[in-house]
Amino acid sequence: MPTNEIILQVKNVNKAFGGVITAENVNMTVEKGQIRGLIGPNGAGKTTLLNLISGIYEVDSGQIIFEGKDITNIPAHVRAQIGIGRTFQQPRFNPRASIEDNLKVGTDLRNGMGYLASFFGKKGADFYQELDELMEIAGFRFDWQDRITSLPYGQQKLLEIVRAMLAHPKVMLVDEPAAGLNQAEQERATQLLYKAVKQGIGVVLIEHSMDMVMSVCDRITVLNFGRVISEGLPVEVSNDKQVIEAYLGGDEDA
Amino acid sequence: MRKKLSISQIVKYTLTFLLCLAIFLILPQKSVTNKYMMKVVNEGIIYFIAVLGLSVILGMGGQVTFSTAPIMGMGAYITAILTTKYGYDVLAALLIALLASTIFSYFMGLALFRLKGSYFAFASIGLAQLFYTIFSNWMDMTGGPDGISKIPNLHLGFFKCENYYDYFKVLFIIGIICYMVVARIRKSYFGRALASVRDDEIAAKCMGINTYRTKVLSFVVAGFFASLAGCLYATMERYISPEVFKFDQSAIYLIMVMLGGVDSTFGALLGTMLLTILPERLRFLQSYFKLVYGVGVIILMNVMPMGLMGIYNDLKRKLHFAIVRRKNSKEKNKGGVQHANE
Amino acid sequence: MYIQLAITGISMGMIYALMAMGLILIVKAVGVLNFAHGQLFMLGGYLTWMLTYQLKLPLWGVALCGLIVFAICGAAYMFSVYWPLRNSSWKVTVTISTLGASIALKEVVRLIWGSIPLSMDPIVDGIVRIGTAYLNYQYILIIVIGGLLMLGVYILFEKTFIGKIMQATAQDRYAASLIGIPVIVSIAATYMVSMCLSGVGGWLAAPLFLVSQSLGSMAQKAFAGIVLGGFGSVKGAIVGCLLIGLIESFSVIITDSYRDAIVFLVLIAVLVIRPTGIFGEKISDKA
Repeated sequence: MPTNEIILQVKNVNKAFGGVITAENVNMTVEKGQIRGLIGPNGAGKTTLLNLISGIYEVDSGQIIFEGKDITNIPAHVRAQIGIGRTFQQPRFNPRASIEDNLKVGTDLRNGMGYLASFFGKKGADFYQELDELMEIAGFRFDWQDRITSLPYGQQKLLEIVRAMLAHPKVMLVDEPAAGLNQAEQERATQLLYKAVKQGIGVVLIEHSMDMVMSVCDRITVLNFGRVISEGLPVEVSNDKQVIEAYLGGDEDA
Repeated sequence: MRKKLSISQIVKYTLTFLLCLAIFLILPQKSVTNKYMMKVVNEGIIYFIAVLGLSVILGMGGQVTFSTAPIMGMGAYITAILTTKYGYDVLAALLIALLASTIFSYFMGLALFRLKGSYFAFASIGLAQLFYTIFSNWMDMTGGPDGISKIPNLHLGFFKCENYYDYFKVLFIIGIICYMVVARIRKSYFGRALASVRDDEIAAKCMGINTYRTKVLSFVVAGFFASLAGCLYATMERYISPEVFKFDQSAIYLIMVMLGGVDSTFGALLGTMLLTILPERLRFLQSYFKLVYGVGVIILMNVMPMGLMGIYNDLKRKLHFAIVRRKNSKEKNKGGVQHANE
Repeated sequence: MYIQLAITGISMGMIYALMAMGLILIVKAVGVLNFAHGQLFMLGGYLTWMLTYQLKLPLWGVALCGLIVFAICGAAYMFSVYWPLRNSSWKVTVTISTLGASIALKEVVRLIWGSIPLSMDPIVDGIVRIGTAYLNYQYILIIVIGGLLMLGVYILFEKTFIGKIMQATAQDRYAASLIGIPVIVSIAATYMVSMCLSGVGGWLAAPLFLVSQSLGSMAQKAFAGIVLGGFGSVKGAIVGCLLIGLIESFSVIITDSYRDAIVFLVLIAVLVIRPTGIFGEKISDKA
């Protein structure tokens, strides 16, 4: 539930790659416990914006403000450490590692202990209970020692969200979680996101599946050619003429 | 979903301990192993220590590097010079050499990791060439191509190594400790972080990992083990020359890691032992040996890229799941209590 | 004396540049560095020695046959070392494979021609005098031939159809195959060109350095040149290698036996101060 407490703010951000403008004067806010949708036609610059927030790309100008502090010049890994979580369009796991090791990367982040402490066996907080709850929602089971690659695509995508949540982020940037998932799996992804916002996490959701977007998001920002062309409640945005034009005639199902 | 030590694990650890104890007591006897074989085994352990360091940076970090030989040489030469030229006590010289090499590795890592993957590797070859040039040309210090001889034997205060059998006892214990350290790294945050950096640097950053620092740290660890191996080599052989620390040696260490299995600490041991002992056994190939070796490496990469332990773990996994699938016809087990070791 | 050093430097730089170009071609085409590149260069030296002394061909014969043999070797090398692993997503295996190839090549050469360094006469004998400097014609020849080859490669890649095909395959193998480019031919062609460049380099260097297995270590300097000039850029590699050649040449003023050391120190310095080199492109990953 949105709390009206802004946790993330993108202010007048600009980014160009060579001659291609991927972000032009973009403004966006995310509140605690809010799901901010980020939609737009392909190539509108949505993933780029997530990358700018994560710190993978540097902004040309503008600011990224997190919890009131300017993080524009802070490197990506530090942003992750202070609570900006992320999932990707294609699940980015370590293919040669087991599921256990992959998930632990998430909990390692949450534990915040250094390499040395971990080496000497300092145990982080127990996460098994939490994991159980999340897997209950995700709706499948796995064997710890399984290779991550043995999981089907849908489960990997869900697991990515689980891993991001295990890190106890304050903001979660979710990139097309429903892509490639069947109806049931999409529902589970939605449930996971609901659980996240219940914990007060602010979510930025990129999605093409309009069903999901309209039902799940509290507010939506629409991008086209790097510019924000609309912002507001789902019902406002879906009736905005500019948005409809941008999508060439209306709803688009994933 | 708690992790407990299962019975099979306790049995495994006890057996391993007993085996090590047995080896420690039985092997270094003249009646069991002749002097020459003992020397070969000792060399194997020394190489193993160097290869362990390499397995951290290559196996976990996925970074090919040729820095093992030159840093090993650095450790060896510093130890040798301090003892023969300046009369330092062996143990003191060894510790100084270790410290110096590790610090050097840190700064070297800072510089080299500004390069991407393959370029880093090539730069490390340059490092090897540089050191080789210095070792061969700085006559005053390093004795040039003639090397340094009459390096004193290693002693640990209470115990002095007089022969290869004594060395074995010391090396064996050091080897076990190093093995445990690296195996532990593999299971701890550092190992996981390195794997993340290896497989997907961007995702690693998004999971809060300082990729640059992690990579540099892996280089420092590799440097530490390499220089330790070098110091031990210097004291055991009592003579060193630049030839031992050429870039070609680095290539051999890389192959040892790949042969044994890049994802396995035990694989490093396997690969090292095989490639140290096999050449002795394959002497009949004589001048064709290196050719077979080179071609063998190409074939290895095609057929067994994950090395011997890779094949072993593959089979083990298939067996495990065949059994599991038979036990539960419908559901898969949730959160296995057992954690298989390598 | 400085002119002498300068010309020697540029000429050595040319040799490094030829190797570097060959190396970068392969990097761009298949994405992995070839660790046996020095050995290919060495092979070039030995092959031309064979053509000149064992088969006793005249100069033009050596040149012609040389190129043909180089092309065959290039293709053979690609097939045995790179092709089987072309679909492997794990680059380390290809790297180690080239490592094995470098060991094997060194041994093959040793088994065929022995370990004693072989001498080869310069292509053009004699010394020319420029001002106060005495120079072997060979050095000037290297600069000329090197320049011509570079021009040739430039024309090949920018102006001819085959060149465009090779570039397309290098940029996106999958897309190239989709539009009907025979990928295997294209990659083989790239390797062949690369081998020719390195082989000619070996041929040019042989009279100066004796044909031996240590020729392979020249690849180090070629690589230093690539880093100095900024990797990924052929233009940068050429400039970088020429600079390295000059540095190496002029460092003889300070020291003789440590010239290699100085080259590598320069490499480290570049890495610390400006990792992208002179012309370097900042290589960022796509997220």
